[in-house]
Amino acid sequence: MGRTLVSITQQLAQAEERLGRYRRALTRADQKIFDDLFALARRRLAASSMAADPLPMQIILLGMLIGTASAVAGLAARVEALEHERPLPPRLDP
Amino acid sequence: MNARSLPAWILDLYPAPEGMVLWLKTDDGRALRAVDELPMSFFIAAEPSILRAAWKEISGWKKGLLLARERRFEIHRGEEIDLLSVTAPGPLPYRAAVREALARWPDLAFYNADLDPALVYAVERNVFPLAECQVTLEGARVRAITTGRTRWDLAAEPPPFRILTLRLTGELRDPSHGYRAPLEITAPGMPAQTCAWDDPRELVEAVRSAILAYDPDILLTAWGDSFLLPELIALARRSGIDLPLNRDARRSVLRKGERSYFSYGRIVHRPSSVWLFGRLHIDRQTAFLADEYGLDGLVELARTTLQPLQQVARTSSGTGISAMQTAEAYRRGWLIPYRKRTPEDFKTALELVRGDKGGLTFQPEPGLYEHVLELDFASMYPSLMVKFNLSAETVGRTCPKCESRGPIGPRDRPQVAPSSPHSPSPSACPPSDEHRWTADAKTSRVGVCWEKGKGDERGEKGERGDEEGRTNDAAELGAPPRIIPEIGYPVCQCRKGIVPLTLAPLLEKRLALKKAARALPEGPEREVLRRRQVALKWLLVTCFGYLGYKNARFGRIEAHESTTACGRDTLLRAKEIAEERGYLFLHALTDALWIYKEGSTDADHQALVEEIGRDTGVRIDIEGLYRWLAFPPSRQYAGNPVANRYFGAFEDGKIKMRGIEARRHDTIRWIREAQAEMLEVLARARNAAEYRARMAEVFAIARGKLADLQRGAVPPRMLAILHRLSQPPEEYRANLPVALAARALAASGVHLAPGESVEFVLTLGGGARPYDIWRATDRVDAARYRELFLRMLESLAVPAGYDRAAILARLDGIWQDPLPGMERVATGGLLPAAA
Ligand SMILES: [Zn+2]
Repeated sequence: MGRTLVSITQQLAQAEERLGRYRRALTRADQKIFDDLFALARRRLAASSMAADPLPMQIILLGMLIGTASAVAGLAARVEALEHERPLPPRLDP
Repeated sequence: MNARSLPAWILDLYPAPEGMVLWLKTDDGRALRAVDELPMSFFIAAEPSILRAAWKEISGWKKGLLLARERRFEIHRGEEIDLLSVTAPGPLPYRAAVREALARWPDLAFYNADLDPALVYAVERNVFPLAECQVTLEGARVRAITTGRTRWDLAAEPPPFRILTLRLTGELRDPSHGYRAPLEITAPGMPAQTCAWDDPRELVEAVRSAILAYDPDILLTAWGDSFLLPELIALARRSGIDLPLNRDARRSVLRKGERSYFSYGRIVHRPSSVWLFGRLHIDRQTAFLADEYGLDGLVELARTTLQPLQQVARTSSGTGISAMQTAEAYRRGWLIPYRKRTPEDFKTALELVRGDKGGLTFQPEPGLYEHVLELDFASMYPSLMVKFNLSAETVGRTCPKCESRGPIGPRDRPQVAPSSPHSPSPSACPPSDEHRWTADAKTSRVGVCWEKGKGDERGEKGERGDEEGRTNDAAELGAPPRIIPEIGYPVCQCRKGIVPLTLAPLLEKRLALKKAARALPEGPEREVLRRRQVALKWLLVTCFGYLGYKNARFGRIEAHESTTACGRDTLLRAKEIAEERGYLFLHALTDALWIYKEGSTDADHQALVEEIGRDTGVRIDIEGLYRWLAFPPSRQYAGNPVANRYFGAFEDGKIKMRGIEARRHDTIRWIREAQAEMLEVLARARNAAEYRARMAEVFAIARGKLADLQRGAVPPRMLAILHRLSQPPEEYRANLPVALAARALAASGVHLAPGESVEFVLTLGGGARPYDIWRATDRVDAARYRELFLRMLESLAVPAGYDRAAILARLDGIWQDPLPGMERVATGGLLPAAA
């Protein structure tokens, strides 16, 4: 319904497709990380759709960054808990 | 001639050379044919000189047409315009005159040119289909007709219908694909009869005498539209027997042909239909959504949308919304834009809406959760349309009146000037106004809107109270224009829009029906209220999509976009409030959200929904608190519609599921029932840990089912796959199962149109056999069914931490479960008995 704009969902899929040859040249281990990063961006699609940014790739990258930072923050909390021998905080997926 | 006055129900109404024919159902059970007159008008708008020329020419037609100059309100322009009005003495001359005028002046603007006479009659006489009326008759002429009821009444008895049912015996299967079984004729208080097809004379005689003896008001059939009635009519003609399907002897049965057409990028098949006069034919197979609300729902829709019963049974809820808007505009004397296409292809658009409602769609993290709270906004989109006055003619425009008040912006956020691709079309807004509303938007909270200030007591006033309310509606509402979040369209608040005017009483009625149902104990009375409420729900669900539908009379894409923008804003506000109160956000979808807070109590939840309702102005309800809730992983990412897949058990053990196999209509029965059985087991789990523990029982069920499959003990009926044809059978190139099945059916003489569905069973060697021509020698392809089964099992097992390999390990019997539920395995499983 409505106007047929390319949705951020499609833009993300297109970006991933465009980078297909790039991904192919990565090592198996890096390919896994490549896929994980796109999964992080995908998890933030709702926010990306609200951004309505003319450059979708930068929003996709921002989603990957936030996801990565969120994972780091989770790890930091666990490290700190381990250092102080406190019970571990619940593991939240980034 | 003496006039007599009697109470009666309006069973049916349709145009005829004498005017309108009314079929009246009297208190003593008789059905009377009465006629009433109904002059009908249409309007032409053009330059005065052109109108003068048209006047001259039309008066030369000599068809008893009355001509006049008039000024009427045109909602899209927001003002009255000059018109030539052409009034015909009855519905048939009206149609003829419209046709002639349209052909003569194809480029002029026409209004009220495609009105349904039944709807016009209802509005003119202030009655509605299936209403209980007091009728004054002089012979067969209606002298007066009144009703003490309104279509908004909660207490509404259905008319005392006499229903005769015709169907083939046995399971419900499409006879046009070759299925034959004796005809079953049933009616309350009559002994049921079954007749074989091998003696056509006897069969037609049996139907004839049943109709004559019982004189039904409704002929209820299964596949009566596409097969039963056409077949009976043909047999009757061949055997020279008169089959009194119609009550109206002056009319012959009306048959509309089948048709396949493209709509929104996919092919749709509309089956043929058989319409009766004086009697109502309802085919339960073609009655749109009637599975969900039955005859009670259809009666509710006929009354509310002012469409005769046979019509509501065959058209989409988009047509219902269109009819209601037309009635609303007609009642106010507003012009009704001529629509070049019918809204029937909206049926598919509705299906799209169900998938992707243009709302905010989050991607839940797959997994198994506990103590999750689900909150649902009640009829969010229609509520927002009413609340913000979102309508084709109000969005994207301001008028001098609201200009002077200065706009109200979206909540607590600096107003951003709309970017150019989103700007309203220039025609929608006078050029002088265009830049002004973007410049100095103030910020304010959403809660202040017109319906809270000046009362909208439509429900209490009822239909006739509105006559006096007419001036009120057009009067100033006293509110500044509202600016839509995200896209920045202004919305004029000076005059209530046609869409909110139509929706407000509908929302109110549905809410009242729901409330009344809750107050009753479980039983038939409550079920009737539920069905009526569900029928109205579909109108409300549709009204949003219909606003953006390109062929809608009162639709406009900007109004549609504004509704979704307000919806996103409302949903995000709810998320913010929940997070402020310490809830963790898990998932949200258009008008529902899933949140979690450790140790939260009912009182916390109540306080939360109250605050959200207060803040957003849209009612939000607690759908329930889940003991456990699973978001299965989506199998492929890029697919559309977006993942709306979850299942969980509420506190009371009730399962809610969306998008998973057991809920989908295209899942084969064997898999659907197996998953339902597994979910029944899981429903007993009180938390995630118990869910994981109960997986042992689930795997045991799975082993039993797969063993049945391997043994060939699953009947093909349980394995039939339903698939819609996207093209004619001969045009499929690849050897897809659906293509194989369609070609086999076509070869056996079955006619298949694109958009129709075929049912087939996967057979060994990569084949597919249509279920309708299944042979005892055909062999089910167990491997392919096993794969489908495993995918279904994954939906349940992956959230509990099993991947494919772990599932296979459980199924292949290497594992020994220490938990209860193993009895099944011992009796029929694949597990070695030695274990
Ligand atoms: Zn205004």
